[in-house]
Amino acid sequence: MIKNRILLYLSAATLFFNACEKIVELDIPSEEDRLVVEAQITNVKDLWKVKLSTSQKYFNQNSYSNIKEAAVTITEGNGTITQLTHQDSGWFFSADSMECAIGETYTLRVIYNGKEHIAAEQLANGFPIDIIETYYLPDGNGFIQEGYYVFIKGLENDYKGDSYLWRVYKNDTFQEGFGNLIENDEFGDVSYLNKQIDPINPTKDIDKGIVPRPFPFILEVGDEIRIEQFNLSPMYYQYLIDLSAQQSRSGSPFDPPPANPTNNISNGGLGYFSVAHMVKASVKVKE
Amino acid sequence: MRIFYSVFFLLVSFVVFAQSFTISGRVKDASNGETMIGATVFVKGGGGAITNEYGFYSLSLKEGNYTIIFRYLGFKDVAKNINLTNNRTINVELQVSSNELKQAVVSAKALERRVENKKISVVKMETAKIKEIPVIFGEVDILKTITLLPGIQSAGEGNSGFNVRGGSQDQNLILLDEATVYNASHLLGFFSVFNGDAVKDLEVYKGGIPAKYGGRLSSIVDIKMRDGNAKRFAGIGGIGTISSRLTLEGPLVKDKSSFMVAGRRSYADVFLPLAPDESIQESKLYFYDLNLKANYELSDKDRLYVSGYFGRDVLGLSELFALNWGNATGTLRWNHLINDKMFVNTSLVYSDFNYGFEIKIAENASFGLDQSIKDVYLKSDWTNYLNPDSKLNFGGEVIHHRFNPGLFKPLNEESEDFFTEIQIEKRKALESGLYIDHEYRFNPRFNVRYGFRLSTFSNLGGTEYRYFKNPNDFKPYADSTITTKYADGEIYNTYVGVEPRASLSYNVATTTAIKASYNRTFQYIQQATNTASAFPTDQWFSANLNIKPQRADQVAVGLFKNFDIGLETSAEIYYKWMKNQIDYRDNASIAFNQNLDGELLLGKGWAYGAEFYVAKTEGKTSGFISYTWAKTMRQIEGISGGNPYVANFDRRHNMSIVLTQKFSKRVLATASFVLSSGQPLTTPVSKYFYQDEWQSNYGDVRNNYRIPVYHRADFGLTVKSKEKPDKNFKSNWNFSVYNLYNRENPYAIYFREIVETDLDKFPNATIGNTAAFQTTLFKIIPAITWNFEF
Repeated sequence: MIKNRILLYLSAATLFFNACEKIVELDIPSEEDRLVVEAQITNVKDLWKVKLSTSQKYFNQNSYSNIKEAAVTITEGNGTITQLTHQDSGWFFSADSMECAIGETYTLRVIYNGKEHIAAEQLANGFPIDIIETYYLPDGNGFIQEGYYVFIKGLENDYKGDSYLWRVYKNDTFQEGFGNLIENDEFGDVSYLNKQIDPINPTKDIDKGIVPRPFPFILEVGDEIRIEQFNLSPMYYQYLIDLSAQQSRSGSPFDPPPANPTNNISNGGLGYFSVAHMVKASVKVKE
Repeated sequence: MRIFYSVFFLLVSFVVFAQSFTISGRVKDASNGETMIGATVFVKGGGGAITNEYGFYSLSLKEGNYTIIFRYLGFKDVAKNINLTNNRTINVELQVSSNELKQAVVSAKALERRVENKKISVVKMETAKIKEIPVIFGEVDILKTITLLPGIQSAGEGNSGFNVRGGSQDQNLILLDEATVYNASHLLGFFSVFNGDAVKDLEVYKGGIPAKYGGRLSSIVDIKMRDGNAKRFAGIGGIGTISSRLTLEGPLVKDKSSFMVAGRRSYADVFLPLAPDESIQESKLYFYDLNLKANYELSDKDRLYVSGYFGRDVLGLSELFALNWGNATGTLRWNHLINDKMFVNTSLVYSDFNYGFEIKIAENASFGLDQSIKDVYLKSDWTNYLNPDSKLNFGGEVIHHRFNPGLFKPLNEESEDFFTEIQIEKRKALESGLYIDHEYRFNPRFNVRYGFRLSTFSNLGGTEYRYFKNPNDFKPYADSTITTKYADGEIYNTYVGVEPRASLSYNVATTTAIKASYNRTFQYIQQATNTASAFPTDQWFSANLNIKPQRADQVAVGLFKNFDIGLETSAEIYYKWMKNQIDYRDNASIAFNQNLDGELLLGKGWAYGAEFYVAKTEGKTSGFISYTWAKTMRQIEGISGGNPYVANFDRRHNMSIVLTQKFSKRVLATASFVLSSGQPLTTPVSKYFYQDEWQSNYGDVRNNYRIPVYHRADFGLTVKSKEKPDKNFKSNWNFSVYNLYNRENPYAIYFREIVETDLDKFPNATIGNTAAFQTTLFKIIPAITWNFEF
């Protein structure tokens, strides 16, 4: 977060003199359409859903092209094969609700246009959210403004490699605006899990500037908040980080070299097939 | 190799035993007492010498009568008749030739000399010549000017960086009075750090690098400061629309000691309050620099020089963000003549480049980051003038490097609640070089220079060292590293490089020469950069257990021919093989990454090209045309599928034309035109819809496209005041226009989805569409400067 802000300032500095920015038409190279997969299956019982589409010419401004005809299956570790069939707008569903088991590997197979694409992930273990609470921050502290906030507290696996994504819903509406809320434990504790915070009196050290790390959405009294926490594979976590860095290119010296994030779809497929551990918790904002 | 040594010792021993007397001394400019570098001292009837960087020459001849001629371009010859019966010291002062304008055709003799003296792959420029070429904002800029020459290509607009024969920017060693200048850019590259008034001479080695120089792969840019007027107190200055400068100089003890102080300050920030944007109004943007030099003649045999540079850039965006960077260098030198034939210079040098920034998020939440590289080195260079045909150079240097990759710190007490001080582990290293090289003239037609350099580089302990078990991992995860702490000063890793160097020259006819060179170079400290342009925040780091030193081998062959209509021409071809070239892996995390090693991949590179140059140096109309065809490739496992790809700074065609017209003694006009292929870029090859957004598919090929061609014309006009013979005061007005026809050259191009905020700028754009955005840095820029000297 801080790093992003530094980058933002430095980019501004680089472009300080940019008197002129314009949209240009360029005859850039292009390649054949590729398969795009967007799918996530979890330990929570639900229909398995896979979205398929194809890539298209960069300056082609029509809406994207869904795939209706493809052979889509997901194979469990024990060899059980589940077929997914096309429902609507490129979405392929399983016939029944399914749930993934911890430690099990799931393999997606898509045969499209005579080409087979395979992707596999293992379901990581995850801990439940122990505490979900809200608190009032009387003064903005430079990072967040004054207001009501929600935070969680939870445990995580002893080993490194836990990679989390949170989705926050306010009154059943998904909260957007900060990109993906993701964090891993590579450099220490996961700050959103507020390991050091006393759950009984979370704001007791507010004078020292210590407050629980909240999700960055200002809430109002009475709001129903639901948090979904996903424990992702490290590869998918990195995929999301890199995707976001590529997405926010600005011509600054801190842009990563332009490249596709490493994904798990074989045979040149784009997108990602994610198997994630999901837990959720809810709270109502009190005064 | 064994043959090499045998020849070497044979030649050296052969010349050592020849009997002779020696004439030695210094050649100076009569008007100000500045020593002259590269003046020719030749003996009528054959043989000669060239003054070294301290104006010193030494000629050993057998007993007899000689006519010795001292010559320097633009100065009158001085001839001395000598009856040589003992060792002699002859110091000479040369007068400026006043009838320069009338001299439309140079004598054939002079042309011969020039072909002979020209070294392969070496560019030499006097500041006087550079001062005639118009540059941005009317400032004389030696680094921008050399990029007009063949084989040296500008890294782009808003950048003082340059690429030499397929080398990256950090592969250029820029020396100012022997001190390394790590970042040569002012104002994010609008100016270079070298004040034209303080510089005496500049030499660029693109190849055929003498064994004396080491530490960089591609080129050496050797810049020498002026010593200061030893005859009288004098000054030079200029007042311009963007910056002003003043140089004061004079004798400390007449003809024995002099000083020079040169300062510059830009004031672009003065105009910022006029900007419509409020955040720009509150911004800061300026640089200043100071050059100091003094010398003292201790005795006939000893001379001391002290010189220093200090420069700083400050950039602030409103109150919230401040970036500053600068170089500081200091050089203490002692010239000593052991005898008439043996010249020694010993230098103690300090060089410091640091940058820092401060960010204020709120009153109680502000932090800063400091990074630096500091070097101290001791070097000694010896020259033995064995006889007019043979010169032996040897010496060595030891450099202690200290790298501070980053100190992150809260800026006030309140901010300590949010930020804790983090010091990324500092690094220390020791670099050394020992060299010997021999210049030998077999006959007036054929001469050689050959030698070698032995370089070593050692990483020193004292701080924690993070070592990656497997640098080929998909990503450098924290748990894939081993952290080791080595004892302070412990050498835990050493690299050794043997660097043979050779060049030879054969005069086919009096005005035609064929020259060839080979050199091997090693580079132990380097900079990782993502774009073709350099930013002060690009980190310098050293070779270590993960990053092996870079190595290059280059061969070049050139043909030099002068025509008696006053034309000098040359053509050179080169091929270069490079090992351990670095590039960022795909999706590398670049800024403030303490595991930067893990983001870099190593592979090979190769470059080849042809360079053509035609110059007319005399007469009312002078100028040059240079054209370079070049190809620079990289092949690195893990990038672009392991296939060869064009390097970020590859530009296939490069051309520049510079024309100077002297209308009268007082009016001089210069026009220049540059054209180069666009730089490579990785563009999306298609797009795909994922997570409700358009994402770019960059395909599998790095640098799959070139941005549009770069071209630009500049124009300058200098009108001098009437010279009054009895007064020293002179002045001129300089009017210049940069980018005369207002070409919108691309600075950066990037691809993304059009979002709502873009509509302010592009009302016709459609949200959700994907587009290519181009930024342009400089449109047409006029500037006026008033220059004076007294």
